[in-house]
Amino acid sequence: MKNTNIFLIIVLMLVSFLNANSMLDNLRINGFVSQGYIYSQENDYLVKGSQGGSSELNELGFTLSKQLSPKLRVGFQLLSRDYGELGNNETKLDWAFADYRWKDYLGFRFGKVKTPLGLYNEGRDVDMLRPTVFLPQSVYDEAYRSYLVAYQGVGLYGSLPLMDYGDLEYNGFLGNMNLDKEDLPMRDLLDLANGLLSSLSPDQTTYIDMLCEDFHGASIFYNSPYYFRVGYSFFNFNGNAYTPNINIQSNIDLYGVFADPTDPTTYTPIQAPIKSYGNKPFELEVKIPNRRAISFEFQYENFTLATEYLQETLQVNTDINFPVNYYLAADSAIFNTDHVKFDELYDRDDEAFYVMASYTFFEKYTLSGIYDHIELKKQKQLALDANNKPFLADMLPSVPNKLDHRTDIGLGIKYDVNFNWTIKAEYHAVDGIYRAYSDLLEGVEEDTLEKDWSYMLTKVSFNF
Amino acid sequence: VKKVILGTVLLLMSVVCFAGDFIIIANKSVGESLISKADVKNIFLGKKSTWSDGSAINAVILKGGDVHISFLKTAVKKSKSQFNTFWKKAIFTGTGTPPQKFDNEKAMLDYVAKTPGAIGYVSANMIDDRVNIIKLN
Repeated sequence: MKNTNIFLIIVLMLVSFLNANSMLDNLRINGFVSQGYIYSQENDYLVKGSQGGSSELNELGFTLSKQLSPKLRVGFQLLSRDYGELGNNETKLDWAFADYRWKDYLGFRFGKVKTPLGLYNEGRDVDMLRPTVFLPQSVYDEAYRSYLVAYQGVGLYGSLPLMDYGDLEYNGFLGNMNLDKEDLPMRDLLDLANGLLSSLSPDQTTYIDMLCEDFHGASIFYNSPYYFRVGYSFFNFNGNAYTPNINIQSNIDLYGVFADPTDPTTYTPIQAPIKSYGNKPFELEVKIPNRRAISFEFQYENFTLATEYLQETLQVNTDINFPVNYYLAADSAIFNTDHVKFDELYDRDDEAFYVMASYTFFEKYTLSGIYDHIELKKQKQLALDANNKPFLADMLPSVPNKLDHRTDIGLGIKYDVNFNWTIKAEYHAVDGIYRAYSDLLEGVEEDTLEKDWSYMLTKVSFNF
Repeated sequence: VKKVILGTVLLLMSVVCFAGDFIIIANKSVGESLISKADVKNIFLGKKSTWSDGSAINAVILKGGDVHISFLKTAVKKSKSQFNTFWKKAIFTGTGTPPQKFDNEKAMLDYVAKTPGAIGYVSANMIDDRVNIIKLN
């Protein structure tokens, strides 16, 4: 919180200075702050020690925007958040872009822009935009936020009127993304990469970084005149995790040697422990070839019903591409290979679905109910066969029941004190622990987690 | 003459009112005298930003009150809470600038009267000849 406060104080001083010098005409200044409390039973959730209660649950945002002309708007938002092990109140640039709206049916955005995915992804960090403290975590997973939340690049958008039949809204984007090493996908990846690297280079401390140079997607929504909207959205993520050059040393089983590496006919099968040496970067390719959602929202007077269905595929491939010289123990022969490739190290499919209903009564009170389910549909991982040849093994049968799904049923109430203040409280009963952040809780083994557990949340939010 | 004008205004009011409790008004610069319900909704949700002559639309709203709630329910098809949430989302995701708000109908009427491209709504008894009345087709 310390860094956040200092940074925001500087920003506020800057704003005051600009305001005093009449440089803020038409400038919009908005912000929000929220503080929550979580208490869980049977398992810790999101925050280590949440079974004893924790207030490590807050968000703080500061937004500036200015309409430079009827067609051009610029702005940015600073965001600081603490979700247990995530965020830790480091202030980050949440979004910052220029929006040029050429026509109502075609506009362009340049910069860092919130990813248009499903009904709520763009506004996922702003507490007062939703009736509950957490959005349905099967689709809007907080631990996987960094690869969902924003792209850096160019987007296009527009609204196409359909006369008396409503309108079509669309978004498309192409760009790249910064990834947070503390987020769960990165931690999973680090575990995977380090496991592989430790077998190749046991004596070295490995360092791994990750880039996503290709992130693209689109969404289209039909807004009906009859109180509902329905849409489809998807994105495709292609990232690379890599190390700087590392020395590879490993005992491996060799299947054969060439007396003359340039002559394939000189190959002789053999199986013997040998040493390998190399000095090359190590790369993992991380892909989300499919993350697609079908969304439906119905709003009539004070009642809102929202439901979404999501499919996601995660693939981690490696291309261990280092021309190494393999020496037999007696150094009697040299085997050259320039390409060792495992097509897929890890391949996982998830399906998720939720229904969220809310009803506002007496203008200020909103009662909400959620049914939220996520399920592991496929999980394959690199394994070795009897001949030590790599293959992609189906790991699903060995996954314990409590680890292959999570069903969260929640009930909550929101009290809108006024336009600026909101108070929420809710209770969730959960069956299963799949993607329930256990990796975030250092020292917690999934085997030790309870299948049936629950959590309660309260949160107070202020916005201006 | 005043009686004729008043009679004309009252006649128009009977045509343009949603449930008889608000009238859509626009600055004299606005060429449109007819507008569809879909366009009204799109204007106040920021999806339609220009009039048919290409000039910019400047939509304005009331902060609260019965006229505001009635307008949102009938023309925008949203509750006050849903409308506020819609625009808060636009603010905090950078995707839009909400309509300017006014404390009362008098202030809104004055603003619409003097601001080119402006569109708003007031109750029937607030109408005067400084603004155009826009009918729904």
